[in-house]
Amino acid sequence: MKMRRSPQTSLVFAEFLQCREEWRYGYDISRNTGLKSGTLYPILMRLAEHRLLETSWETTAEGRPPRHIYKLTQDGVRYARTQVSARTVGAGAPSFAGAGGL
Amino acid sequence: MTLIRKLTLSISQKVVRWASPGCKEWAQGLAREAAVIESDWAALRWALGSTRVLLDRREEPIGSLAEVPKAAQLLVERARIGPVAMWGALIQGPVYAWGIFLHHRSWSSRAGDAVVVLGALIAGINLLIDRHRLKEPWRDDVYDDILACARFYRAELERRSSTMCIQTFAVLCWSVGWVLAAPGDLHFRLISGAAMGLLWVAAAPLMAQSLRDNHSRIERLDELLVERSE
Repeated sequence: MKMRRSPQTSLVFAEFLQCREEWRYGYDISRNTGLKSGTLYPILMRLAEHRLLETSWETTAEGRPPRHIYKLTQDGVRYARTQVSARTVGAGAPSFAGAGGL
Repeated sequence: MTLIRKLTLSISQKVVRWASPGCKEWAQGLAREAAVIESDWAALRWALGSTRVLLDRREEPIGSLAEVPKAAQLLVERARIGPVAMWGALIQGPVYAWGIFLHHRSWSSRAGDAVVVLGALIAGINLLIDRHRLKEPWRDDVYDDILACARFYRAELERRSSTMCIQTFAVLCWSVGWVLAAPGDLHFRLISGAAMGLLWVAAAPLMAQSLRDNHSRIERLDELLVERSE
C-alpha cells in the first residue's frame, strides 16, 4: 500500500488506536494531536481514499446538524499498528545522521 | 452572533460551496465542526484551515455500480470536448505558424514558432481522435448494460491516464515554443522562461492529483466488479 509516512499521519494513527472502536470527531482529533484542520483533514481524506478510514454522519435527535465522524477500518487498525510500532522503534533507534556520520 | 463567528460561518459556507464534488462531504464535515467549537477565535482558525480542502480537486467517488453509467457519460462528454489546455495549444498553432515564414524574425524565434506549431498539431490530432472515437454509435448502447458500462468506463479511465503524457507534451511544446518565440532580448526570455517554469511547478500537483484520482477510480471499479461477481 502506497501511503506517505509522516509524523503527522503517525500521530493521527496513534490517536485512533487510543480507542479504536469509537467514532471520533475531527475537532477532538485535532485537539488531541495538536494538528490544525488544514493538516488533519488531508490526512483523513487520504486514509479514507485508501479504505483505512470509515466516515459517517452522526445522527442527532435534538435537531442539531449532524457531525462528520471517523473510525479506522479493520485494515486501518492493522496498518495503524504497524505504522505506530515502526515509528516507536524508529524513534528509539540511535540516529547516525545527527552524529555527523551521514 | 459575534463578528468573528459571522466571518467563520461565511468562510465555512464558501468552502462548502467551492469544494470539488469529491471533497464536498469533507468540507461539510469541517463546517459542522467549526459550528460546534465554542471559542470564536478557535472556530475562525479552524475555518481558515478548512480552506486547504479547496486545493484538493477530486471527482465524486463512485458508491455503487449503478452510479457508473452517469459517471461514464460525464467522462465521455468531457473527453469529447477535450481539455482546455489542449484547445489553448491548438488555437495558438496558426498564429505561430505565420511567424515561421516571416524573414525578419531570428532563427531562435522561428524555432520557437515551429515548436508551438508541433504542440498544436499534437493537440489537434489528439482532440480529433477523441471526438471521432467517442462518436461511434455503438458506444451509446454501452450505458444500458452496467457491467459493459463499467468495463468501458475503466478502459476510458486507463486511456485518460495514458493520453495525459501526450497532452502534457503538447502543452510543454507550446510553453517552450512560447518562451523561444517571445520578442525581446535574452534577459526578457530568461524572465519569461522562469515564469513559465513556475506555472509548470504550480500545475504539476494538479496533474499528479488527476492521475491519482484516475487510479483510485479504477481501483474502486475493480472492487465493485469483484463484489458483483462474488
